[in-house]
Amino acid sequence: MHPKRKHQNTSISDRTIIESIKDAVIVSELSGKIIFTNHAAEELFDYTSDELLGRDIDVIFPPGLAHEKKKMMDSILWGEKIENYETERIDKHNKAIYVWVSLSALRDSKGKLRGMTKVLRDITDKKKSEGKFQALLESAPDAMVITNNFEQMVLVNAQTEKLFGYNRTDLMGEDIGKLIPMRYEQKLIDHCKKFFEDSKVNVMGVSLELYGLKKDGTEFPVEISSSPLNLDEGLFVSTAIRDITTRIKNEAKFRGLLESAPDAMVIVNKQNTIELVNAQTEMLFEYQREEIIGKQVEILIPNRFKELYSRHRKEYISEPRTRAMGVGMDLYGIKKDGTEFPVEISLSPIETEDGALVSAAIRDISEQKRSAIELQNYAERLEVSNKELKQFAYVASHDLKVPLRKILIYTGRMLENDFITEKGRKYFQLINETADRMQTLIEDLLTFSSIASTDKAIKTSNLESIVKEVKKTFSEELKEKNATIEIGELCEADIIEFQIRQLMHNLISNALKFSRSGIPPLIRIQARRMKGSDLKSDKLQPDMEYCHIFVSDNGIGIEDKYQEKVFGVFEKLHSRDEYEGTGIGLAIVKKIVDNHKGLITVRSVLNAGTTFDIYMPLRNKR
Amino acid sequence: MGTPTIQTTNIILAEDDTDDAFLFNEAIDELSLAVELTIVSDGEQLMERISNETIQLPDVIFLDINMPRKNGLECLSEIRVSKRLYNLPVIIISTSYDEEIVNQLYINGADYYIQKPSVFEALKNVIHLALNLISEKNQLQPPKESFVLTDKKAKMALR
Repeated sequence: MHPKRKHQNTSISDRTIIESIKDAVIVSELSGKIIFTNHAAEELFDYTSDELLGRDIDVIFPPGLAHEKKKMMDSILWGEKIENYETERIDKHNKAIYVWVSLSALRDSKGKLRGMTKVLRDITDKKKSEGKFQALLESAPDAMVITNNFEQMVLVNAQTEKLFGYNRTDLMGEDIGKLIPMRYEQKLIDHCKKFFEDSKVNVMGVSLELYGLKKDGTEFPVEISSSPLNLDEGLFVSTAIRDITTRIKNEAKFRGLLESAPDAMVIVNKQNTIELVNAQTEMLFEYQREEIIGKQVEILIPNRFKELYSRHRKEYISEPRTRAMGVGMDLYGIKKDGTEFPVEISLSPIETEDGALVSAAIRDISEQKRSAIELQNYAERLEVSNKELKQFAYVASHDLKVPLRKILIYTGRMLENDFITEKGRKYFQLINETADRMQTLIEDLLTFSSIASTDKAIKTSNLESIVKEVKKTFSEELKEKNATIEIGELCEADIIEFQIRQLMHNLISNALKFSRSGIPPLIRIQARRMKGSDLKSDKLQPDMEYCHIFVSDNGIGIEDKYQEKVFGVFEKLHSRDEYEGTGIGLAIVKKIVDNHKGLITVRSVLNAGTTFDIYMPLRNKR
Repeated sequence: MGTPTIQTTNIILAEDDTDDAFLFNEAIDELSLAVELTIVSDGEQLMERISNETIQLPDVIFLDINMPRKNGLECLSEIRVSKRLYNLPVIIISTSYDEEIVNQLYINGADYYIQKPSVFEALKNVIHLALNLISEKNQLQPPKESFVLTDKKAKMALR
């Protein structure tokens, strides 16, 4: 019981003083009835004085905190000193207010207990920011641990619980070392101590191979980053712990991929330094990887390409995408001993946490180059050989045919006149016929050999006009044999005109020659477009379009077993007495079809007729 | 003299092949035409002869293509640019038949083209036809369709 205090200034009443206090002051009787509120209390709880006076203190208690009231009451009754504490109250609108409460007993002048005096301080904002802080912590994807300057954990978040398998209550107050295997503890402690000497954020992690230790004893790789935390209560350390098991796995996978790549893989950073290479690089360039990691990538390139490379690099940096370097150029790499070898390089960008890198896949193409050169040589030799063949064909054309012609003329002369006897005439006749056959043979052979070496290009042509022209050349023979050529619908085809003319000529000639005696020959010619897939044969490409030409006759036909043979050179199925011919006619036809990259097949029934099916590829989709 | 003489046609044959020259001669003989035949065996000889102003120009030249020293094509070109010779009728008589070469000869101004036949009778026919056509003394080069003389055409024309 204190004596009445004296005021210096008697014009200021106690009441005024109480009203000036910023904190809310509420006095209640032992029953709980509110008997006094100050202005601050009205403000805080948004009631008027009248609304509060006389009411039970319950009115500012949130429903769940009834027990608190009872506890307070008990403490007051028992004369216990009540520590200040933080709690929750509600205002007039049922809104929660966080307050710091200071309780004291109200005694009368005799010292008898009359009630309670409560001083309440609004700490909603502080709580909010604490709450915000708490929420931040909880929402962090990494485990967050706050330690004091004794390395004791004062706050952990849910992720920490999850990651390490502990309840936060198990960790509060414990040494942060609890989360780390023994062998790393000292490292961690030293790391934390540093903050109190030099507070800067730093990352402690993979390069130091730190591991975390779960409650169940399992270890896992982690990356740790710490920062200082300045709170009212003092200097703390906030540490984020990230489980990098996946990252380590991925890195290992990546490295594995790199090592297993068949090409030399060189990973270069923005400063043009080699960061990573694989075993193939070591083998190809004959360096140990330690010798080239950290060096400029130019050490792998011969001097004369360095400028090209730096130019290409600049382009690449401005537009990074996967592409080949120096397309169409001869690039070379240089080994440790200075030997050069031809390479193909393809670049692709890699995004890593450390920034953009460039991955270069380098392939030794010495073998390919060698093959390419060989192929080139072969092509050149072939070209020469073709030229020689053409020359030969030309020479044969003149130099062989000339004497032949003369033989024919002279023997012909012999037959015209009465120079010789009947017997003599017979022999000259035979010579003449033989020479004649030889002439046809030479011509056919020349035609055959010149088919593939023509300079004429494939053009889209109207088959109808060609067939009609060829038909005209046979007009006499058609009349003689009472034969008919029916020309059906003919589509356009991509062909070498004079060769197709020859083809038609040969086929029609054959059809007329191999007709059945007594039966007027009927030849049908048609051509229509079709798709490769229409013919159930693997000889045609299914999605290619073809012009299907068919030439059919009603002649003597070809036996099944000979149907393949007929296209052979000098293949004849009949003796010369039966049917004249050099046996090259169909060989020429087939060669022409081959020259157009087409297909020819024959179907026939003995003594009924024969049909030749020709499939010529159409170049353009129409 | 007062007696009218039969007009002889003066022919020069430029032909290096002895057989062909012989056959040509035989053909002319058998045709029994009034013909005076001179044979030269290469292009140089031909040009020397017709450039010689002391010798009378021929009425027609039968020209082989493949000759040593100077070939038929060269001779044709020289003839057609010469002021004195350009009007001379020139008939090509050749072993082969090549579309492009025939075209080239037509463009260069040959009058007719004959491919040497392998039947004697045909040789006679085409030579006969050629001489008939030349005797019509047309100043202009014939149209392309009539350029090539064949035995077939000859038979039809000489019927």
